[in-house]
Amino acid sequence: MILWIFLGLITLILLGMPASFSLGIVSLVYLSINGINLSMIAQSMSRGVNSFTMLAIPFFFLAGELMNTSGVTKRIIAMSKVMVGHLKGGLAQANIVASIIFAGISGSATADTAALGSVLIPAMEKEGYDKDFAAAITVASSIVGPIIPPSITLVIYGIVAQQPIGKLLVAGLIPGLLVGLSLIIYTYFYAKKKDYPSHPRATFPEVKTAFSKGISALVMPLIIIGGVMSGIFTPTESAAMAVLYGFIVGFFLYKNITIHNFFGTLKSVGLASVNTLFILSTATIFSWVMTMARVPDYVVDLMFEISTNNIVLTGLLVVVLLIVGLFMLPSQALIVLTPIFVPVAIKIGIDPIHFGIIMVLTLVFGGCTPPVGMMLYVASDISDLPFAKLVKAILPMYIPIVIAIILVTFFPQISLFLPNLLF
Amino acid sequence: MKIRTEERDHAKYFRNIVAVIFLFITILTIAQVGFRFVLNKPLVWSEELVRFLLIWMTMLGAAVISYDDRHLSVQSLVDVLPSTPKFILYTLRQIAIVAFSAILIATSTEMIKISHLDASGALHIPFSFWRVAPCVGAFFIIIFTVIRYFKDLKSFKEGKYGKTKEDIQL
Repeated sequence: MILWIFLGLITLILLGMPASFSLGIVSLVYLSINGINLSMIAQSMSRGVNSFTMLAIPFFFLAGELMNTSGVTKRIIAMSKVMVGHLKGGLAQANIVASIIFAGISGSATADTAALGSVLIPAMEKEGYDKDFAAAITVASSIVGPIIPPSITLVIYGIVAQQPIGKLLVAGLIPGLLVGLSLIIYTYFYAKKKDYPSHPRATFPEVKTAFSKGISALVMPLIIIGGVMSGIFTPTESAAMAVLYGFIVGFFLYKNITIHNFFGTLKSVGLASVNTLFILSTATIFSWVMTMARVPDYVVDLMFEISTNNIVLTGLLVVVLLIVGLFMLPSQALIVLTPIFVPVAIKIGIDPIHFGIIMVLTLVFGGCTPPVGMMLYVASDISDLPFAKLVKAILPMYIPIVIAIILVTFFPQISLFLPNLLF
Repeated sequence: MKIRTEERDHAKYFRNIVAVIFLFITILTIAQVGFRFVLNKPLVWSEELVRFLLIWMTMLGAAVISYDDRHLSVQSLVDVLPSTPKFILYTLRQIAIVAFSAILIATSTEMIKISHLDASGALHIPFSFWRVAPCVGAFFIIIFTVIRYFKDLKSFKEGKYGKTKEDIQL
């Protein structure tokens, strides 16, 4: 029966059925077959989103969008250039650093690719970089978006796995920086090989100007992380304060946000958030079904039949997540797999906070791999580059990212050092 | 996920409702922080109201997304199919969504009636008002899914189905 639940779910998803309805329909069929009263479905669905914590999802979306509308992207790029532009392949390095800074205002990798790619890919091409490399590095560096706080995917994990959101957000900081660093090292050697240009080292007045113009982008992550770490705000409240900050910056400081486009942003962000929230709503029925069918226990037994070695089992989990990430969007995969994999992870001694970082990192990596890699489609569209050419260019960049994933997986302190220190 | 800007937007008012609810939620949450830290008078009801509004925003918003055909889904395998099998699959998908929504409404009525007898702690909103939200959402999902389907059927007959510009999902 358990096998049929999953086969049914995977088939529906692969046939294009929305994840939310796939979860609902599979659960409905299971409940009907087992003669369980269906009257609890509506209650389960409303309970699924009856959560103050869940509000962090639309707020993080909105804060990122407001900052983006404010025109902060170009200021971030200018700041990144004065920081690393003097290195070999300066603009490519600036692209990676800009992704890291952008990750601090937006929790979405696709938003990162779209916002930075539209400016940096043509700029890099103009400086003599190969277009496919420019697009590929934009995509690869964007995966830090959902790892460095604020992270919508980590909030989803926290809700589904019932783990503290504040701890998770802080735990994502060092792994996100590690992924960025691995790409900086790769780019340095690749740029040397291809003799890509570097900029003259920025003078102090240039650094001062770039930072004074771009400081607004650095304040947002400070509000979020600082608010949560100090205990002043809950994660949801810190996300709401980030929205307030984004509005003040865009409306009063840069004056790019008007009442009209603010209402438009509310509409688009509201609906984008609802997309995730509705999946979480139907996933509540699915979680109920899985608990009744004792699926987590079954998976734990199955895994221990394969091996009793914790390292092998951890590696196996990562491989499964990487494969799933090829075919499913991170939010979908998190909602379906978290309730199953977290008990397994706990059983083999992985801290659930650490496991959240592993899950998000591996699943987000799927965003830059075919066939579902959303960021690849975005970058291919922006750069007007054939999809296959972009995939070929990004292939070598998987090596530093996979090395970073392995390090994060097998060295828990990379994720747990900060939360253990601060909470 | 397709962009369909050229046609009449039947979900226009629902989009505005979602945006207004979202605005209320945002203002209330910021006010909650302000009252606690600035005025030192924590609001006891704001969190409950925000949760209540979030449920309604999600369920009404889900109906709008059904109209837009933008529910998160994996389309890479379906997109390689020729137009006719792709449309047949789409038809079956829409039928399944309508059936799920109809069952949800039909099976939940009794529980909603029972939950009307009890109310929430701070604002005393009857629990039926919370639990009816998925049913109201499902009702509009059915309506919008059917409207969407007939619009797409028209496109299919005109040979235009699946030829609209791919959307970028943020």
